[in-house]
Amino acid sequence: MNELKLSSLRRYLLLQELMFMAGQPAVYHCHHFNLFLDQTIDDALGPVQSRKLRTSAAREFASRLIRAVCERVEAQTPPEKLQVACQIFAAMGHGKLDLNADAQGGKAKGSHLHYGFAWHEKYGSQVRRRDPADAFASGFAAAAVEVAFGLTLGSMAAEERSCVAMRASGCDIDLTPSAALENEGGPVGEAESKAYVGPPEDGMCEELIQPIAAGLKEFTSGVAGDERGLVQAFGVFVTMHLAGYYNRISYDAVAAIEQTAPQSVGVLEDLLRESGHVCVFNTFGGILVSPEWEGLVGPLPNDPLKIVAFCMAIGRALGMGRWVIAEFEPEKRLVLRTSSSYESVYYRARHGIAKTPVEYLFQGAALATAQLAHRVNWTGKPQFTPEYYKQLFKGGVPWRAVQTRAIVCGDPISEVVVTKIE
Amino acid sequence: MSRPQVAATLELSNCCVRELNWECELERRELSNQLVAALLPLGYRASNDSGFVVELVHTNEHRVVVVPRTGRVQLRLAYTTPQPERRGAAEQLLRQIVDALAEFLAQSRADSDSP
Amino acid sequence: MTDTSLEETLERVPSLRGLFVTAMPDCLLFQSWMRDGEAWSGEDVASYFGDLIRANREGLKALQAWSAEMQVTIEATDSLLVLREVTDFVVGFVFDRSAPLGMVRLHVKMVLALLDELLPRVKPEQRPRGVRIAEFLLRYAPDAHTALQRAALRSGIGVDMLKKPEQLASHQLELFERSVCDILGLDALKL
Repeated sequence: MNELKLSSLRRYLLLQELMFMAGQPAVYHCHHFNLFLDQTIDDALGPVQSRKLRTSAAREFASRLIRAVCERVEAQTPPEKLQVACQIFAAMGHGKLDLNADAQGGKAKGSHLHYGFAWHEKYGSQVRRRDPADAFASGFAAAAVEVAFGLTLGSMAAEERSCVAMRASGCDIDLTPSAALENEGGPVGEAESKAYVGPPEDGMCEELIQPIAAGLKEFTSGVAGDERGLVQAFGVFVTMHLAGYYNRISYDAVAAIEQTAPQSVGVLEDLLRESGHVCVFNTFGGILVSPEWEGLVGPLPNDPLKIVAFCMAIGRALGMGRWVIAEFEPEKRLVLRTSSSYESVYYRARHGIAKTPVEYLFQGAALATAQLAHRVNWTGKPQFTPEYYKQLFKGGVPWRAVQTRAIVCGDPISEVVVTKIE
Repeated sequence: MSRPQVAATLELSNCCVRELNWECELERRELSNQLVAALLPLGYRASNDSGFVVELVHTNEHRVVVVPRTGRVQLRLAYTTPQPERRGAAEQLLRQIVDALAEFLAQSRADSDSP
Repeated sequence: MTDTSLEETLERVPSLRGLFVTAMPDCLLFQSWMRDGEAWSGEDVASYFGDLIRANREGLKALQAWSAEMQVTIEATDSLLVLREVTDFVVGFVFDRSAPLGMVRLHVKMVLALLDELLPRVKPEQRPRGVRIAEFLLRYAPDAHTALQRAALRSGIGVDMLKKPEQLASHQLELFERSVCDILGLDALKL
């Protein structure tokens, strides 16, 4: 078996800034996004159905990833494959999984699992959690055993029995044989990504954006989980995550609510956009005030256009797509475009043409970019704490974001227009 | 011969995890150039030397990040540090840095004075 | 603080940084005084103090150790807090941490005697349960700016309706309360 090296498995689609891990769509996201998105799915479906969906989505996309990585490093025996799965899980910043299982099932023991650990750190002192947080790790563990022992997708059930988010000392996942086999959905890989992107275009400030994005990509290529399998960078816990997981849980939850509670679709979509907003505001904000940024780019100016440009560079480096600035009028209007997004690739590949623009992350990100540009005093050492977020947004966001063009609707590019509410 | 004085202040820095990151503001920022050399004998090793930042990690997992271009120094506590102990741990780390720099400067001066 | 004699008294209490009077059971700020330079949100402090006393009262009752004279003292890093129930109000004092405890008790007693005469005897009207549920949610939910949306999604009740919680029908109130319990990880709300 060859050595597993995360950086050699990662690549970007040329000029489109979509990222792949062993050919599987991947993206960097912080714990703010991960926790808020999972929470939104819980809110929409309730804890039981949500856990089922999240575990299933994790299983499906982890299965593809583990198979692809095993093939590349030539892992052949079940122990080798299980080892590869645990290594890749930790390298991507999801924590440590110890798998003690065979084709008849077994146990997965998690320590410092990203979701449980980060939930406990962020919310643990505020609210009591009554359901385990690590559906992603559960699905991943099930997929690892299925791949290692050549089992059909869904033949290994995974249930987290104890979780640090519920104040347990560790996370324990039971793996048991199951008859509830699952169908693998249609492919969403590099080929589909190439099929569902528009012609790449440049926008304003490209001379600033492109070198910074390149520098950030180089920096992140060396980022991998520490000995506990966590990545702490730029002041947040970062994961390299499977885009398919995010997309499936989002779009399947919307589809379920359309059936069971159509009156709630709007509020679900608002919360999905908020996931993008909280992510970009906190994580991009955190990156901008980090020493790494100061070393790479220099101290921050209070210049809204430059802040927008910096956000475009960060979005590209994290694998969110080729975000460009189409128009900018300070204090009034910001128009962002992209020829690519991990959301639109998935949606088009799995669902076809959408009736309405459903690129929630991109919509929330555009709104948050306008907030970072206009509402943060960058020379005053801002701190992106929950209190700061609450202070800025408790009365609502004084800007409005409307997606005016969408690849999911068949347009060649996606566009979000953000305007200040007068 | 008196030992060189090093002054620094501690201020909470941005971090989405409460009280993990702290800014160590050296009264003379140019001293940050010597911080890496001063800390290496104390159990630190460079975990990231990308050119635009130098990150030193101690065996206790606390980290010190130096930005050579601006002299900024950030302390990053190990994320396993219990929340109530974080401020104290940061203060201890700051004292260690100040002492290490003072010691390093004294040693450098002694070396340059010796025939 | 409108009463000038009280205000003058408070000014003269050494080491006193602030005083908050919370109207119960709704945990609303009734009156507050802060020394110059303090920038607390009176409304927030008052509501949390009210909840704290209520939780403390319930806990002590469960232990069969409650008495009307109970007083809560909190020794925080930078401050010393004293909370005390006075008829339909909770009075919260914030002192410097360095203030001697004996002196603090003496001043608390003196100020409470003054407040006992000044505070109204009329029990504040209890507001609709829906309003109190919404306020409780907004006070304690993480990411409070999205709390109503989350409750709307969980309960199936529109956000606009939840913004007028006093108008909710009884079955909606039940759904709303259940969703708030779920968001906060509580078995029931004791309001």
